[in-house]
Amino acid sequence: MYAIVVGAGSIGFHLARELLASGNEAVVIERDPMRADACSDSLGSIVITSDGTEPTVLREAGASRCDLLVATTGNDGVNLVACQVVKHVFSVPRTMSVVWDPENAPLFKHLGVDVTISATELLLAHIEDELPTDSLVHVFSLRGGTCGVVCVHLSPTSDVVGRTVGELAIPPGTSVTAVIRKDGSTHQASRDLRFEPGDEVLAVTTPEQEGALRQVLARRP
Amino acid sequence: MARKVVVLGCGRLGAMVTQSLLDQGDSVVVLDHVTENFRRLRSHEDLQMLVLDGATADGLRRAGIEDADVFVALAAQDTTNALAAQIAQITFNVPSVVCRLNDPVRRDMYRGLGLKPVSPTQIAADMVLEAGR
Repeated sequence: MYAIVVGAGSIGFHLARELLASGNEAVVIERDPMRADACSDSLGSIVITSDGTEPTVLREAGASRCDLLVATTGNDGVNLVACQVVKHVFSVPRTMSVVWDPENAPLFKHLGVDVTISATELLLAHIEDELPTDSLVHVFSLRGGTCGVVCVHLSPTSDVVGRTVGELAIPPGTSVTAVIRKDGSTHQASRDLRFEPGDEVLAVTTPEQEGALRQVLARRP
Repeated sequence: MARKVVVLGCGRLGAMVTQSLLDQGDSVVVLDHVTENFRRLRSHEDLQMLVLDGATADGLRRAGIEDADVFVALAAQDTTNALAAQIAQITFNVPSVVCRLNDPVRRDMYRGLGLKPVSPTQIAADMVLEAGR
């Protein structure tokens, strides 16, 4: 495979190195002379010190015979234009781009960038998996705020997924009353009802016991 | 009827275009990430100057792009203009999008993609050749 990598920052440099190591042909285009030199020092003479969005530069880099362009610069505008130029001017079959502003990802896809990689979204997805955000929502309060109805969203990582209502160590003064499934169906929280990922659990509790209830329902194994 | 125009970039060209739009009765929101660049403009009741990154969906939203009739991208970099113009065109469906592209090859490409590209390089070159005739 012949790949053009635009940008020799941390992503572009390591990517080019891996592509070469696995037997592919690769060229890197980097505008900054310092970065370009650092890159050619370790990867050899595969670096073009120039603007990877210029059609003339891309032609020189062999865009008309390349299989893939990967845009890895720190600027979404540069990445988008590099992909669009090789696609429309050189008919490169496949383009991939790093996207910094997550809002740009759908736009890039719409404009024909085949694969978008958003570091922000990748990290965010991991953070949401690792650290579920506060999942307890107050629905309304009763008796002047001495008790109230709360709703807890069960993340897939919650310890109670797969267990039944009867198995829960429900805090005193609290009753789990109903479960709303992801498909919208509602179920009375009978003792043998089994929790599923994504369930919304409705409970009546007091402000004092709210933390304990959250602990029980959101606890990770 | 007065149109609402969002102009990205308040360099010499951006400022001149903004002033002309105001003179012909349009209301203009002009964006630049450098406050200093707004020195080129006189205040006007139909002019709003915002210091923000206009090449992002968030920046354009804050500039009121959602009800703009025209978007004009006049930043120095072609890539900034191409990104901003396509956010305006695709994400916000702005009816008329004008985009400065210095490189004539890229200009032709973006014309094919539905933008209205203007290449100052090409225009200047044509005028120089014309003057030297």
